[in-house]
Amino acid sequence: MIPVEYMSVILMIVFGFVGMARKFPRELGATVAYTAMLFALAVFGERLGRIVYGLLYRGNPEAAPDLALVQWFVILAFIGAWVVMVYAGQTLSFAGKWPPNAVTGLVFDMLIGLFNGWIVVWTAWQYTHRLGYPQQALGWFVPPLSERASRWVALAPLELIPDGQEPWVLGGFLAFLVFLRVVR
Amino acid sequence: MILSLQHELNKLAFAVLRPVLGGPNPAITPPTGASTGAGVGIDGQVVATAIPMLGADLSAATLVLVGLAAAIGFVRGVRREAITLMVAAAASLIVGWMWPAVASLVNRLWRMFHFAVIERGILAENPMAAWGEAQASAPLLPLGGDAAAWQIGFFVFGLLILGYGATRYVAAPPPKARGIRGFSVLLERVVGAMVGALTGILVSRFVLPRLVPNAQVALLGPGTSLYDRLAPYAPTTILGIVLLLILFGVTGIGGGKPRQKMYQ
Repeated sequence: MIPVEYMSVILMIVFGFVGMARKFPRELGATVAYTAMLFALAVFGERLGRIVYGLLYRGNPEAAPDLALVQWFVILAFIGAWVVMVYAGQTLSFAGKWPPNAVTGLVFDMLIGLFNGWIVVWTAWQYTHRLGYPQQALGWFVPPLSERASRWVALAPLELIPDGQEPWVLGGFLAFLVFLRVVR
Repeated sequence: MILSLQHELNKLAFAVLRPVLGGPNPAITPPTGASTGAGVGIDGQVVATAIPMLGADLSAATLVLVGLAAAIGFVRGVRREAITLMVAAAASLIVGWMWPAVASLVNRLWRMFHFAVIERGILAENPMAAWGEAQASAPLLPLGGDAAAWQIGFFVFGLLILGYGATRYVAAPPPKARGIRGFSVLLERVVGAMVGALTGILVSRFVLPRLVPNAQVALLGPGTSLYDRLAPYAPTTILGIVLLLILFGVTGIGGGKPRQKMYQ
């Protein structure tokens, strides 16, 4: 079974290729949406899973599965739905001529794609880690977690932002991106 | 010859870097009684017998190289540095991972040169014997683990010629030379410095482990004092870098219609 850290890097590289295909102006639009996703997760986070769990199993607690597993499904479904919405729906694109030159354009296309991949993949991994890898119950993850993976998972966006400052930092970043979109 | 050259390079690297770095990482310093690279001669003088470089922490040297590359990137601007970064990445892949194929190709060319020029090729008195001589000649480049000095040579030569030299002709000149003034210049230079720093990381990760085998080459490896000091500022620094890159990217989007069709 492929280690979780390698899987995360591979997925992030896939986002890098997506960035190269879609180009910087559109990928920056996707960054705006992903920042909004992070903001929503920072505010609601694991409460989302608890709400769904409560709605589904309030009347039938005997049939209720592990809370962590439900929370994990809900958060991954939320992130997955957001990604589909960003790429399949109307893209918030920055208008104008791109690239400034071929090589610089390619580098920035890739970088912004990798950045988006880091936001999406590492956030999903962080919640999985925080919930104790509940997919073990389904045989989708086999412990133990390597030391490298333990170090890498701490590089998730919401882990890097100091506790309690997430809404301010993410809100400020979102406002900055929207401001850039408006002045373009 | 190559082995001795590598040995000399190692000695030079150790002599230069050890005073700068302080000493080996205590966590991986050989235990007492292990070889420290020095022995006692018959007259009681300490005689160097080996180079005690196992586990040397080269994070400070990495930092110096990265800083240098960032300064070069600041001067040259991002348009040139982006190409240099790609050349450095390609060179480290080709010269590092694909070294056996590169060495084999160069060795074949060397035998052809040996046959054609040194043995005078088909003009020789006995061309078949000349071909046999050329075939039997020692390979120019080693295929195995003794190739560090050659690899560094190829890498640095390629980087200097293609990465830094050729970009002067194929990439846009620095912003000031293009007549750009104001904030855009500073932004392009700062982003150039960041891209240059990435080139510096690639260069140091390629060159330093070959100069000092088994050395720790991490810019900010866990456990280093630099890491401990800078760790609290990491989120702010990362956010600042991301903001600058985005800002530069957005200022790079020109006005008017898109050059490439943008599907909505």
